[in-house]
Amino acid sequence: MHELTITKNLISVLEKETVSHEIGKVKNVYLEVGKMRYIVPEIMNASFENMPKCEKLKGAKLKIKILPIMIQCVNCKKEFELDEYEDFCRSCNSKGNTCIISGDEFNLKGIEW
Amino acid sequence: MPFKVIKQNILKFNEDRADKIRRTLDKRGVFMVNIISSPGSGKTTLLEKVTPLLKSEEISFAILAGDCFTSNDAVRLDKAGAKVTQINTGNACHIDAQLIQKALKEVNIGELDFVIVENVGNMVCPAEFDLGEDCKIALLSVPEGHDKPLKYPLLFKESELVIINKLDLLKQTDFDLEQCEKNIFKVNPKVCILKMSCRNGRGINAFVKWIKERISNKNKSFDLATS
Repeated sequence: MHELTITKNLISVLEKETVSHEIGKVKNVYLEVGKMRYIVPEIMNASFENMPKCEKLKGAKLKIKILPIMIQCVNCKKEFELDEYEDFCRSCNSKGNTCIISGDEFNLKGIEW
Repeated sequence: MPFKVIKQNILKFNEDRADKIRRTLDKRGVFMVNIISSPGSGKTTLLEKVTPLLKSEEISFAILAGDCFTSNDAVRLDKAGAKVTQINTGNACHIDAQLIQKALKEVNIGELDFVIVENVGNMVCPAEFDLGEDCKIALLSVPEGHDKPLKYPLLFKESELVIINKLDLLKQTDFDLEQCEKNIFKVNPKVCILKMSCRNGRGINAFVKWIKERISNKNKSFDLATS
């Protein structure tokens, strides 16, 4: 359900970014979204298709890349890919000492026209 | 095909607004929490119980109650004696920073120590939207099951306090309290856990104590910033 509000936010950003005369009718919009953001690409695509937007954005397709959850241990520097997020290092067993290097993104990468 | 690299957070507009709210609250030394849980886990009941206690401590507070359509929760909290502003989100399953900006205009924040946002019942969407709060509180109730922290890690990872409510129902369910705490610490080893039963009153005073400490910490940093 949050796809609706997120798409609305995305359209506001895109409308600003496409004001320039050099940019024509947009064909593809590239997004990178972390797995932890629980985005359902199909719902996001449908929201984007059906929401009001400027002429340049009409007919554009969202290309959504879902990024895996990756953490790095601050202590031993090891990196891990996780199915379920945990703040725990499997290598040196330290707890609460990892940082997320991927998986929480919500990024608009670029547009193609 | 021509390409333009943008590299921008999609939620930038919401985050800019949230930062603005945070600065406004910081300037006045007002502490704000954002309570997030599933529907029916006891957010409103908790606030009903806490309201008279906060009042007897002479803490000046307002509740911003989110709900998709009704004002049922706001009516209950108003009866309990709290200052409540209703936020109806319509079809949206969460509150965003814009709605908070609007709601804060209706309360006189200069007179407040504390603002409580009661988010729309949902464990996924509200966790995505920064409202400018000092901290998020996740509320989880026994009938929901002890696996919830692993199923909704973002909420539990982002929260500073997790309340496990409806402990009076432990015997009637298969809820494993120890496993639940393990699951919470798995996603957030530094979080504070409070065990509660709004029905029999367990944990309510501890919650009020936690609020008082956090308000006083905020006041201290506010005094330092203004002195």
